[in-house]
Amino acid sequence: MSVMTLVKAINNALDIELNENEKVVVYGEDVGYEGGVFRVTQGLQEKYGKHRVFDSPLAESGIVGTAVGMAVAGLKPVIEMQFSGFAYPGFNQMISHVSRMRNRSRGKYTSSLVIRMPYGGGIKALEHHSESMEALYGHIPGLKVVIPSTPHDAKGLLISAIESEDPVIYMEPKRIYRAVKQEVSDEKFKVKIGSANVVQQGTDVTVVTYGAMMRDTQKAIALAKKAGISVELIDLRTIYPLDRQTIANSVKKTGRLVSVTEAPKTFGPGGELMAIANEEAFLHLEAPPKRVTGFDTIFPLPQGEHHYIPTPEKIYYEIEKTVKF
Amino acid sequence: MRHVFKFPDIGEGLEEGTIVEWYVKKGQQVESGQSLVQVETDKVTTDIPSPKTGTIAALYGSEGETINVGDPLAEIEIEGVEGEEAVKEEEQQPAGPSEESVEEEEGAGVVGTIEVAGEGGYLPSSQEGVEQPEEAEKEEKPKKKAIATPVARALAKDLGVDINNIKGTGPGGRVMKDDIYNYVEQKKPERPSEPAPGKEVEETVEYEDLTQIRKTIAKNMSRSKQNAAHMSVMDEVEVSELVRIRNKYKEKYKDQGIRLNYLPFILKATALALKKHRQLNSELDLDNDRILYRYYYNIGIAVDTDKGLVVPVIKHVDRLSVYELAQKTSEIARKARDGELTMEDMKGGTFTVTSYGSIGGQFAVPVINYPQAGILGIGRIVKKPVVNENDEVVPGHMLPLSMSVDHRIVDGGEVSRFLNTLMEYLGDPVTLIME
Repeated sequence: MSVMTLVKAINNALDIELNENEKVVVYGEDVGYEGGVFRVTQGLQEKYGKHRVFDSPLAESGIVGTAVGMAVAGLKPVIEMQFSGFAYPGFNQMISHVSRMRNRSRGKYTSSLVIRMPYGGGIKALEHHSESMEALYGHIPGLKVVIPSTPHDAKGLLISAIESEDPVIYMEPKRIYRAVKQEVSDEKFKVKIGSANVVQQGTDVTVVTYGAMMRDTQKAIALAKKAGISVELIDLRTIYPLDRQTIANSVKKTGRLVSVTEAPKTFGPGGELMAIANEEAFLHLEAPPKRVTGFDTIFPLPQGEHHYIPTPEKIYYEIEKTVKF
Repeated sequence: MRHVFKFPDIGEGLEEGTIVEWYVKKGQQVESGQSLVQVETDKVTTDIPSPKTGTIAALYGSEGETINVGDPLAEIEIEGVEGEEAVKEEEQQPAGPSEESVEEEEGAGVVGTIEVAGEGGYLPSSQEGVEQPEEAEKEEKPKKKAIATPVARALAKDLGVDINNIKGTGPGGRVMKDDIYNYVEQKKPERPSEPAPGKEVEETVEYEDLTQIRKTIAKNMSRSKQNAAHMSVMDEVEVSELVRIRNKYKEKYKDQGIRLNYLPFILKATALALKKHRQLNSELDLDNDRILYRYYYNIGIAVDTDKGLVVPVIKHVDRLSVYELAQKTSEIARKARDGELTMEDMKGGTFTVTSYGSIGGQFAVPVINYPQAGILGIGRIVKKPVVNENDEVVPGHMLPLSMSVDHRIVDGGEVSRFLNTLMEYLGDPVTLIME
């Protein structure tokens, strides 16, 4: 066991996979020599050489496109978009090739690759660094999308992603890159993709969240506990495929659902979670499912971002309202 | 006092650093902000400034040695700060999560500010996926929750019952609306326990649960008073002739098992008067800005029973003879007494008569049977001295009439005209068969 931050856990997972599987290659902008702008890949080039961990040109379309070719040829690329906001030049590759290679080739080839990208606000960065666009990827058939909220899950999910036969979008909540620490096993282990984690059992309301919002939500739950509200907290961990069963079972038990996401409201992940409550647990609902979200606006500049990201107080307010409905 | 300076967390989650060079020696005077030591981490080589002004009392670690974040680096003797103030300064050391600017070699402004875990940033460790899963966590036994649509839940809430206590009979045990109604019907609400008898308790009270009929009465009365603009007119009519006729035929009817009182005459007269004053047999349709006139005359009769007030209706009163009306009134009186009235008997009234004279009381202000336009109250017939046409004081049988109307539809003049017509019929009962 070692104490790891999210950054260290991801680095550790890459290290394990690079060491174990010579087909794994890691590349992206500043990933090699610098070790990434957030130091996620630090030390890996030194350890595994420039042919396996290297810097790419500043061209996301090329980064993703070459990964498609590598994957078809049998390599296992784990590529980095420096920020999720830079991924869009590569988006065409993701939607047109990455997501559908298995289908297009009638199963002959797969795009077995991982696209890592830091996402989300709260670090006083520029606006196109701060968005939470997981719904874009979750909406594309053929892609899996995961978001860890703990160092343990970051490591286990990344190992699962690298060993997945299908492409995985691995989104990293950069706000908590170093803000949380955890004792994590040094051994190789996996956290199953598509499996949500019931972090805390409760009886009054199911609260579903993921990524950096876990921390704020846990603060809100502490407030709820003082008010005598028993919250069942679920860390979604996988955006797609959604763990419908775990969510439905919990909502059936509590009769209430509040989802917490940083992403904009409309067509966002929160709406999909409400749909599960409606489709799978309609006859158990005691209150209308509620979503706490960001706003349908461009993410604000540093001075305004605390207005955008849901606060513990706002989350608690909605939890209380739902329980008292 | 002595300040122990620990190797600070300088950001980016660094755990350790190597001492490159000490800038100060033991016993040296240092200023706050003055560089104490150069430390090399796996990212940067940086100078660590002194947090205090004072004298170096001790230095830990020699050049080339690796130290961990949180290890003591130096001890500084601070002069003139003692006791409480010193403690306060000590407490000011950051303890919780702190925000540190990430010191990138280049382009730090692009990346933003990354929060670094403090003591509060520790998460409990997880064993998921690491070892064989241990025995499944004991799930807390969930409280039984009802399966129901939101509509059913809302209904249960409105009726003040906990839907989770209701047994569902729908598909998959779903609680249906009927289940809720049945439950409410059967439920015997608990009485609050009576106060323990004590010597000083003299003011005895008792809670009695409302019967369904009392609830309905309460609801209807409130609705009427809240909606209709009540206005009342009262008058007396001399009915000696009616008294004579009634007494004459009483025995005859009795032979046929019918008890003849004044009510059949009054009903008949009322129906005929309503025919002439259609406003009294109407209903206000405010939603559509119109009045609904009814050209049939179904008169409800307010009957006092031991369970409460009920209002059975006699249909098409205008078409019935006094004899038939006597039959009908006897019948509904019996049914009301025996609790045999059905919903069918209560429906379709267009006007209401309430007769309290047999019990007592002369004048009253009756409450309209909403949404009807009016109600006629009949008091007790009493003998009174009256002045006849020849200015002689003679004994008369006076029947008191109390009329309430919904003033929104019926004007005062029309009420008086209606009463005049009614009084003409009752004063000269032969007219009842003349039309």
